[in-house]
Amino acid sequence: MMQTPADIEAQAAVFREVFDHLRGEIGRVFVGQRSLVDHLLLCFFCQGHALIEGAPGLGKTVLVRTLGEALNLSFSRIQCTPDLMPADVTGTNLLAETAQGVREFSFRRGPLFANVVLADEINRATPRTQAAFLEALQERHVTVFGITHPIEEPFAVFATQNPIEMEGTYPLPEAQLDRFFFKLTVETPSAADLAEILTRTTGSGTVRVAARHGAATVRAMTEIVKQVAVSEPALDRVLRIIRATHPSAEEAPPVVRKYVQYGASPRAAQAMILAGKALALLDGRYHVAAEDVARVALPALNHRIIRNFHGEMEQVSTAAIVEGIVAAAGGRA
Amino acid sequence: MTTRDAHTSDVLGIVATARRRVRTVATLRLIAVAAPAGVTAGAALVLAGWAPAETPPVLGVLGAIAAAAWAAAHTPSRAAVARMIDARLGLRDRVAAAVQLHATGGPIAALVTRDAASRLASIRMREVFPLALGRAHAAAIAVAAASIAWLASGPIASSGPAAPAGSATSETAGGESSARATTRSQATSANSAGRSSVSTDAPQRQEPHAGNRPGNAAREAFAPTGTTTAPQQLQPPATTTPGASVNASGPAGRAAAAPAVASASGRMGRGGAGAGEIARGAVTAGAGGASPGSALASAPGADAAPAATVSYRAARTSAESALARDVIPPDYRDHVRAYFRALPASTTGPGGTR
Repeated sequence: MMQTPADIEAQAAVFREVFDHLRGEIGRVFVGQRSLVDHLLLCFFCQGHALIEGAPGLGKTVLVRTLGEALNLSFSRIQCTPDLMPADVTGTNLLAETAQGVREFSFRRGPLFANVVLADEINRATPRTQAAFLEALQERHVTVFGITHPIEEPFAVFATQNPIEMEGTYPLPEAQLDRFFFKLTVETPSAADLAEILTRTTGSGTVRVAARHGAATVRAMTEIVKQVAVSEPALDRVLRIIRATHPSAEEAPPVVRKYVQYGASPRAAQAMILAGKALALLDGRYHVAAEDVARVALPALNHRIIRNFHGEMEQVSTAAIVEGIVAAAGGRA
Repeated sequence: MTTRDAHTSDVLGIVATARRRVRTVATLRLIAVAAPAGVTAGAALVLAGWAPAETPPVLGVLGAIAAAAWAAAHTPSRAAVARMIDARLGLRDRVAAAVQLHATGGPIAALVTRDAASRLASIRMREVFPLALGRAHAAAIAVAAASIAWLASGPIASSGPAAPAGSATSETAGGESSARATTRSQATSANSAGRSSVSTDAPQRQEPHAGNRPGNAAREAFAPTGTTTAPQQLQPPATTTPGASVNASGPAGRAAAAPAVASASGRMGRGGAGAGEIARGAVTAGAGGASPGSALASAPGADAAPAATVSYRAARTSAESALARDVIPPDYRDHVRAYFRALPASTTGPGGTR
């Protein structure tokens, strides 16, 4: 059915309303970190997966669970450990007896079959199990015993990892990192935020999140996001940013030439454009501006820029590199 | 026409207006640099003696034409102008997106176009692209103006083309160079200045040249041998227009006849002496304007002569005083009287001020 401008406007209004609702509900449970919450929601409405990195106890799990609850979506949590097997994640065939007394294999869905999946400490799972996530992340379906089982939309995996305990972990390979739409970092809360956290969590009261909308609304929102146009200046900015991440490129700034080994893939450009579309809708526009893509450059490039030996030895942060890249491309991160 | 078409038309119209405005501003800014640069370069060429006096304005006009052509050839595209509007108004690529999507269909394009049209509705392109000349432009114009002024007050004035009367004398003078003519002009001026007891209104800035040729030229030119034609030539020539007279130091304008006197006497080598003689007769006509050969007073080039204003009445009073004191030789007294009587009322002005 052909949509009219009025239809688009109505859907955009709903999108803004849903976004604000989620902000508010998450804000009731997760204190502060507005930028982190916004990026998480952008990622979700673009139907991307996010890698959330932060020290233990900063509320990563609460953040993701609240997102699922506020949208009345199915939520599952996978605590990754070295002995976690792929079948534990994807599901497996079980021999069962039917009502007619016939024994046959039936597929028992794993925790991946949910709208919102939290893969906690994904870097503690073995590479074999991590690989089991690959198909689900990219293809949005699971294949078991030669049978493909699609995962219902909306589907988003939010994986967390702890940056300070690296012993006994299996760092995600670059190919798998690239499948994450954003990499978000949870910062240590400020003193005021910490005081607010203590006030909220040490009392007798409990916060109940108001669940609204649902999977259908989210699917409609993801469709309206995709319809947003991309202006030529925005496209130019994305191209320049991506080109500037490669140390061998002519557009690469000195910080990239010095500290970067590998630049960003086309998936990074896709992520920036899609997130820019969602940002444009939030801003009441129906086209992506160059500023939009610059605003989401850091979470989109954070995990896609591989530092070289000098960068790691001098502990140059990826954020600093991305800042230099965006500045070289004519914007501000 | 649908609403969307109207919005599209509005946006494209505004962008087209902005494009014209950008081109106009660029053209004027370039002209503000190129024309003064041409004038300045022309002035430099003239000063170096490599080009005629008309070169500065010609080069200025050529510079302006070249600037306009360059600006027209480098007019930014519609998309580029749309980006400029977005950047200057902080519209977050609204106009660029509208221009980009105007040809495509769909509800999103309609919304983008409508959004851009609403944002541009109250925008005046004169405010977005103001015509503001910077310091560089002002400096270029100032340099060019200074060049013109300096040329007008100095070398060009002395070496300008000869007037009709002067043309005749130039022939007589045997094609003397303008440099010599300048020197003679200064000599004549010096002569006048040297007799400043009579000619009090002579331009003071000519005094430094007083020692160059101390009046001999004037005396020689007024020798009786040349006097047969001198009286006729001393009549106010038809070429002595008021404007020329003003530029030629007042009485000097009327002294334009003096070179002709010299030519008649065959002593144009000391041309201008006739004027000097008049100056001696307290008419002050010998001041600069009595330049020989070049006949600045009545020449087109006299427009560039040093400006000086001399009171007609003062000159006449001085002449009468000179006549009363027998300073003027008897043979010339009638000519002096006839000269002043012959001056038309229009040239003396209502107050007698020239």
